Amino acid sequence: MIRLENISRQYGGVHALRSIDLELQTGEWLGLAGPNGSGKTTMLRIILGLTQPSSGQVYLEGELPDAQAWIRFRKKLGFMPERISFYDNLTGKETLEFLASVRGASPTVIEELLEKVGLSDASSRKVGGYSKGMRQRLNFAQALLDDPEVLILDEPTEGLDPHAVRHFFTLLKSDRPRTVLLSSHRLSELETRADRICVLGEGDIKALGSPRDLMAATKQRSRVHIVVVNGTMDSHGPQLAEMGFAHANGVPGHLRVAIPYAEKVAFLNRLHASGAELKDVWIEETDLEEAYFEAH
Amino acid sequence: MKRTDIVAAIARKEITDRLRNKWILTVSVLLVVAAFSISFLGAVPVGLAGFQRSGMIMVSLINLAIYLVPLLALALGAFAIIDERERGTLDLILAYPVRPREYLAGSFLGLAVALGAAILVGFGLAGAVVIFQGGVVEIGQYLLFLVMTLLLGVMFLAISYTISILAQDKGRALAVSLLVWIGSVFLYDIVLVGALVASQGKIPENLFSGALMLNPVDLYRLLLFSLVDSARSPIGLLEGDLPKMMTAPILAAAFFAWLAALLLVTFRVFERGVSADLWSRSR
Repeated sequence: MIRLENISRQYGGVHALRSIDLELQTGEWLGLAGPNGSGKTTMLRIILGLTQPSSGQVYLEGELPDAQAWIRFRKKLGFMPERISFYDNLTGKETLEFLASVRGASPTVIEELLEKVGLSDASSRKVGGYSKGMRQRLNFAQALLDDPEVLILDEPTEGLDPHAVRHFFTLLKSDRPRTVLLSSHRLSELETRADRICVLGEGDIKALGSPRDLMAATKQRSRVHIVVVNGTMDSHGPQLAEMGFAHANGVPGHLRVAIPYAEKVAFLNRLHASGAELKDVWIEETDLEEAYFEAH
Repeated sequence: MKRTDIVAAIARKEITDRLRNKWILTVSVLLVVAAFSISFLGAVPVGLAGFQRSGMIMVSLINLAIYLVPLLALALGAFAIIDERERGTLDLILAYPVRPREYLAGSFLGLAVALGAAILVGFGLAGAVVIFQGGVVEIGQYLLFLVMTLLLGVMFLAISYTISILAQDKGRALAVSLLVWIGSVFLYDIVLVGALVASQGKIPENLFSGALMLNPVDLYRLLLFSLVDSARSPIGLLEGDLPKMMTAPILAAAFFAWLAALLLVTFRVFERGVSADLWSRSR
């Protein structure tokens, strides 16, 4: 749907993006992660056509877009910017009415959208009196004007409480199938929701793949914990030690070992084959946060 | 959806904003009071009050417009783009199916209508009283004054938009706007007269005339002096007193050339600003 080919962008002598190749495929949820200054915003602006790359090409549905193609594309696109304060002197409803009239969306959906994002009761209040979370919900509502096929969401849950975050994603998932580009500092959001994640750092792609691929690629290790039944250490102690198990502090019979994520299944098979009698077993997984920090 | 609907929607919002925050009302009242005071009391220093010296009224109103209208236009437009940029709404709207020039046209049109309404109400009411009371100022000439004043406002609105597009923050936009106002309303003429005195009047007439035409404020003044009899006679100017090249058609052509150039520059600067990502260098 959207393809970036060898995209670079410089501001003065600073490289915001370096030779980026990335494709957002129809229907996928692509997560974009990276610290401040990693190039996320520049990449989103290039995808939106707000920023011209210093070199490289943007392809929209396989074509190099002209001005008219950008207009057509933006008709299908909803954008939720990270920082927006709207107009303090307009009510929530007036804000959506104005934005709908600018983008040529039907005003008949406004009440429904306000209901969806939970702002019905506040729709006649001035936006100047809205909390950060309410502004963010209004921001989401405007992104859904015209029922776009593609959503570009820049830190969409910033300012939302955990309940509102859950509501936001439930709404997003249940609404209709869309192509979503989701930029977020909260990797837990991307880990559970994105089909693929692109980790940016210093203008480069540091990692790209499914959350599972990213975790598998990381050098961080999974920790396997076991609690053995009484007497097992006498019968299987040397075998377990050979497998790398060591006593964890605190609980009698509690052993643990760190293994590469990719070798987890083989290791569990070996443990099963050893015949050691277990009371409990659990795995402390490498999470995406670790994969992310490893990428930097 | 017609492309003009986008322009109209943005313009409508700008006008509604200025109605709600009472900008149009406040400026209208300011202009009414100022214009009425200067019309009624303008001749007090020579021992007269009232509308009897209504020939002087046009000169006073032209001078009042020269001071106030550029200042009001600059104040109105200096934050127009910066505000939207800082709010994040400029990026949002430009990510909609909206061309930069459509956004700018809507925003500019809205503020031009707000400024125009204030000028027409302010100077219009004062003019109605003057015409009704004194009857010496011709309606046609007063209407000409109103239209020219409106266009002067539009010129300075265009300048203020260019400042707003290029300025990095509100403080700088305000500072540059004030400099433009002081430069065009006060300094330019002082420098020109100073140069004339320093050269002992040896500056060629055409060069001097050309220099006057480089300032929209002087063009506005000279054009009105050349077109409106009642503005010329009280200050002892006769038609032949203006330099030969400053005929009404030439002055009018220069005035409209300025207007067109300023609008063109504003739109070009905005479109270039958008495509060159002028406002995200700090990211």
